[in-house]
Amino acid sequence: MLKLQLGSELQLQWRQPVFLILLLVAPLFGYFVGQGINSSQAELFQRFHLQQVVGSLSMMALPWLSVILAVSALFRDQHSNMCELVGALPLSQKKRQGLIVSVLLISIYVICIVAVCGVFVGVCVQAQTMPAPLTLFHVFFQLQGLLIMLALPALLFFLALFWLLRNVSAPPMILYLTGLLIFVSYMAMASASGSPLMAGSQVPDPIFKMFWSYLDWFGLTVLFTKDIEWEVFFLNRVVVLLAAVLAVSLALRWSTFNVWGSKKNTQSSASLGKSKALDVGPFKFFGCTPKPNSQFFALLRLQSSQLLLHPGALFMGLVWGVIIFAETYPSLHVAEMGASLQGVTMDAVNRFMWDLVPLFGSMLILFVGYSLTWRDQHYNFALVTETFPVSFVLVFFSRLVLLVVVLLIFLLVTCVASLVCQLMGDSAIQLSEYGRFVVYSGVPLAAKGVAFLALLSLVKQRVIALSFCVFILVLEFTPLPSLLGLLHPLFKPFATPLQEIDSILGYKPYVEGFWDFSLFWLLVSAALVFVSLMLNKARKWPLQIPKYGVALSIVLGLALFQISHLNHEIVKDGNQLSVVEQLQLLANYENSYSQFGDELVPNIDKVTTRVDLYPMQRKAEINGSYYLSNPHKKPIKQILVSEDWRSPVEYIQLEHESQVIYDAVQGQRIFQLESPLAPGQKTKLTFKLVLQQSGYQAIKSHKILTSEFIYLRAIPFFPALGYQGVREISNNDLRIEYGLSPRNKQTTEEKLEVRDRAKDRYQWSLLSTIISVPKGYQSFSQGELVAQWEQQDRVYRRYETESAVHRVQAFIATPAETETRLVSRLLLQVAYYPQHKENVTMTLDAMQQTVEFLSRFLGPFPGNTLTLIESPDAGPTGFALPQLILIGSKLGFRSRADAEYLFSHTYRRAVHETAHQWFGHLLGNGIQQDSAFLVESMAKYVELVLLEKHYGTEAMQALVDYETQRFLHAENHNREAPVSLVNAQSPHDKYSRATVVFSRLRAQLGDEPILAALSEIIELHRYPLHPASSVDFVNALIKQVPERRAFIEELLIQQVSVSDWLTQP
Amino acid sequence: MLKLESISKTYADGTQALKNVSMEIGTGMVGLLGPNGAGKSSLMRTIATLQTADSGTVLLDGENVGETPNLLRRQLGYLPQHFGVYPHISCRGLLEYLAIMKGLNDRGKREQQIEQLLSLTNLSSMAHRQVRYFSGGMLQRFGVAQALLGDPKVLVLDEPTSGLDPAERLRLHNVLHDVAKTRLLLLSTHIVEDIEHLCSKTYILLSGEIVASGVTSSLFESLEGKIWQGVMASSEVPLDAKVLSQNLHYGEPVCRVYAEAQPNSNMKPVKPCLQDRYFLHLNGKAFGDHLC
Repeated sequence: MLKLQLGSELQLQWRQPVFLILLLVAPLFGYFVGQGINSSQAELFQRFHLQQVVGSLSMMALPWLSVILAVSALFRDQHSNMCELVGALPLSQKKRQGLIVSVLLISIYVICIVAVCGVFVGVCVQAQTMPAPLTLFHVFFQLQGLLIMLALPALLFFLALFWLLRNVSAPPMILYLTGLLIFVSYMAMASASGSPLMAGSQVPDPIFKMFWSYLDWFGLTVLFTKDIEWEVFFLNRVVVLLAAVLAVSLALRWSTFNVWGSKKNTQSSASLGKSKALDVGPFKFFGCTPKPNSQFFALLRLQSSQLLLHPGALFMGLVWGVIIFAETYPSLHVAEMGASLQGVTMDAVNRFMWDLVPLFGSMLILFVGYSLTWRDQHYNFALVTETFPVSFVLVFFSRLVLLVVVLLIFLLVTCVASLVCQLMGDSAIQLSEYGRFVVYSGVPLAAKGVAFLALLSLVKQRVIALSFCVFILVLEFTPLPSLLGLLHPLFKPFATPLQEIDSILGYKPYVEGFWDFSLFWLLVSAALVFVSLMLNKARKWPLQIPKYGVALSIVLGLALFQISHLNHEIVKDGNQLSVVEQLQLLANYENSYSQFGDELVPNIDKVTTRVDLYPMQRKAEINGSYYLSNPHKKPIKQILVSEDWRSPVEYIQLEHESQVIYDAVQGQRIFQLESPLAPGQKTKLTFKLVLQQSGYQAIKSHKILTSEFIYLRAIPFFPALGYQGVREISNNDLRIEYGLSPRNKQTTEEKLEVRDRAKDRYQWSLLSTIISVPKGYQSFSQGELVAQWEQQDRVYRRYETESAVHRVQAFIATPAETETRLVSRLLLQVAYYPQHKENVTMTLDAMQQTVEFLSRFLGPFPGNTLTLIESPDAGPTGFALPQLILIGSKLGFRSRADAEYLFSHTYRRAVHETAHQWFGHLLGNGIQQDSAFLVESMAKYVELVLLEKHYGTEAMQALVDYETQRFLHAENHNREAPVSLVNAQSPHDKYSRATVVFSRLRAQLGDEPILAALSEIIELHRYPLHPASSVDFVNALIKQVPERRAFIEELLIQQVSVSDWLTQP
Repeated sequence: MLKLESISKTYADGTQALKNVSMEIGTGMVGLLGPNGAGKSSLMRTIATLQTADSGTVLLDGENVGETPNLLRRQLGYLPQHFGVYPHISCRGLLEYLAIMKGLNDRGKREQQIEQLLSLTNLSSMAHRQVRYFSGGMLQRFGVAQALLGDPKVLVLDEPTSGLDPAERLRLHNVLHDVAKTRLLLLSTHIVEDIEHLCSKTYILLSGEIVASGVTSSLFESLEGKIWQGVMASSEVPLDAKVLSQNLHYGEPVCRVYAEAQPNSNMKPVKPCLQDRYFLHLNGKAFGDHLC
């Protein structure tokens, strides 16, 4: 009997269109996940990768899948008005509910199995060579096994939770909201616990991580550690199952109190006796004249009362306010660990504007649009309302107005919750920022809402209409477009180029792009509205094509015009290429030009540049000249000159007579010299470059062209001479994929051993720059300011380096103020925005102390001026160029160390970036095969020394502890074989591990031998001598303390697992 | 005058709901009679502009309703067979909303009419209650009230008496009778008595076709002297008589038959009624002949 009932329920469930649609979509989604999560060929079929894909699939899809089908099944009787019929069946409520939930479980699990089949295909597609059938068989069952272990307990938990909610009379909306909360909270938890699924950049609190290891409903937290604690994993699975059992028992308990069905008024009507039942009485008809405005407001009044005065809506508003509060309040004043800032409205808004509001806002407008459009059908009242003399246009616009009202309320609740946080947190409130937030968040949401309304009105079948809308959301909020290779920003529907705001740029750089994108999406929505008005599902009468056709044509025409305008503006930022196209370009470059790797390249002795910066136009015009000479003993017959393919030069000319072969696709020019450039002979290469930024895309590193701040780095925009090895694809899998021969993996030591030492060359030049900016802007480039003059409302400054420096030119313009300090003959200056002066003195102290320390032990600073500039947070947090340092506003200038924290990260960061003037721009450049250790690791060493000097040993130890935690966290997820520190490239090695290693070296050897070794290699390898490598430092250190060779080698050279010695005292 | 000319309608699943239906309806109450699935509701929905006919036209005072649906909608009062209501809104609130949608803009008149309608449908004491909690009969009365809102010249009522208790049913009869004096009222039902009591003209619809139409009394006058009734089971009826219906009267089977002459001595001649004519058509196929 039970079997029969189960079979019958299963048949019913599997006939539901939503089940069939999900069953069809599941393998496709699985395929994209399997194919989209990249891995090396070696790891492709390994457990870690497989659990990553199954984990991602579960995390992204299972909450949604469960809630959609749960609502469909648990509310089926109610939606079909079958409650009383079914309730009268000779089947207990518990048993019936149990049947439905069992079938739901089976159905969802079947969809999961199908999705995992898609994953399997997706993973196999990534494989260069297909493994043996037995391996494939094993992989397939491993995937299914992971599904059982990871997804099944979570699924049980979700269903039990939804069942419980259903039995406590929660409406479908609450179930959807719960699904959304499960989805979002898991993302947040995964991110906070450092799961590799969520980039894992955050260092989790150990207690929180342990707590989450037991409660993670997918069990991934434990699985993504290096040494899996299986007992914790199984305990976690048991905990999740117990939670499910608890929810089921509660649901069953409640089922006895609540019968699924609608309440009917059981009160009797007014008694007949009292009401003269058979007496009809007088009745008067009144003439009717439908007035659109009265109808419009009546519609509005009714729909708003239906929607907004609903207890569920009020509850949701409250929940939303709490979510915003919980998200904003704890982090309002947090800058980073051990540092806080005076959070202002902008910081509060940043907490929710970029993820929570778009996601929840989109869900809300979809829900509202759906409710408004299908309300009459849902309540079976359409047969009455559709006979009214009301035009569809009126009905549509009343819905539209209400949707906008709901959206405004949503944004208002957000603002109020945030304001409460600010008031409680004693934070400076800027109401205008909230106004901007409402506009910039509201416009795209409103455009989306209009489109949803139009689609929902247009399509007869509500499942199909909803599917269209959901597809739009999938494109917007998931990486599906990029997985499909659709990189144009318009493939992200209703997205705009707006980026997180900072105190310098605000929204300004993107405002123009925002409005142009918004206009386009509004036009798309308007077109959908017109199509909907012509063909809407409610209209059974002759199509209104002639009436709306003209308007539609105009809107479509404008939309097309807008597309072309957007494309034009996007190209201004640089040509758009997909990742695949870029890789293909790099592969072609290597194939076509690698023979130039052996060609002799002239030296760039001097670079003169004239840079005209136009902040308001977001434009830079650059005229440059390279003064070339042949430093070799052989003549140079041809010179390969590369340009950045995103920003081709406008003009380029070699003084030496030559023929030019230009490859526009690759941006390569071969100057074939009429007469070879003889040894010692000089020539000149001149070029002109115009760079623009339009604010239609996110600002990328090393090119910020805004009215508030300009930063341009010569690399990669200036022409480069010779074959550029850095353009080669390093990943072996990709090399094979793009037809290049794979490379043997070499350690740094091996690379250094086999390299052609003749190619080790400092890329140093004399730099002379004239930089012009409008009045009111400071401008900076490398060198000493030797002249300044004004001409036609522009200020010209001429910077010259007195000797050659590492040739990484940069040009900066900012309306900042400067504070200077003279240290011996070196001018230290900090350029800052007047409202962020608090840290300037500390920053100058850090620069001074670093310069004094390093000058004393390693030789003087190579230059006369060192400038540290406050930069927007859109740029790098900290970045050192020769003689110029950029530090982000938030962490470098606005934040301050917490009173109980032992040191200031602002100080530490300034020390680190100043240290790069020696480590990076004096040492550590010139050998392509080697850099990380001598640049970043050595700067960490300087941090340790300076922190100890400035703040004391405890502070230094605090930094060591901090970096140790960071290292252990990252190492936990690291699957690479152990590498030596000098060979390490990953951030957790070159920063965190280096800190720990140098703290040990200092503890065991002291600073003296380290500084002596550094001094020695600087002496022996200073420009223009042969550049130093990291191994040179190790040898120099061993030379200083030969008796500690083993210890030094263990820390710096040996490829051992660091965890082995890290925990030893 | 509402005129239907050769209306046909076939649904997407292939069901042919209406086949070449033509009607002419003037002032007064017109009954539409037919069994379940005969096409009554389809015809009602087509007249109420809720769906378009595949072929044929609906004319109101000579104007094609298909081209200008609002022409009819402005004068229409429609009660669907099944309908639901919005939650979280009182009976009076919903009537107020519907009145405005129909174009009853004057607040005073609107309130006056709503009060009258509430009283007329015996819902005054329930006016403040949410309609979704109404019982079936109360909901039906609410449906009638909303159909009468404004000044509907054309009333299309699909099963208005379904679910009403006898007193309310009679009350509604009186209301409809009064209303139909000056308006066009199309009443669809399968309760033959309702039509017989109320409608001056009747259409009988079977399988999407009009099989009989005319002044209600004339539809069964021709059966005078051919309807017989006796206490017996239908199996005992002679073969040349056609059984129209078999009722139970105090537990005894009472058979009503159609026959040109007295079938047997147990059967007495009775006065024909509309139900006889209706059953005659309903069983027409079984009889193998066409009596219309």
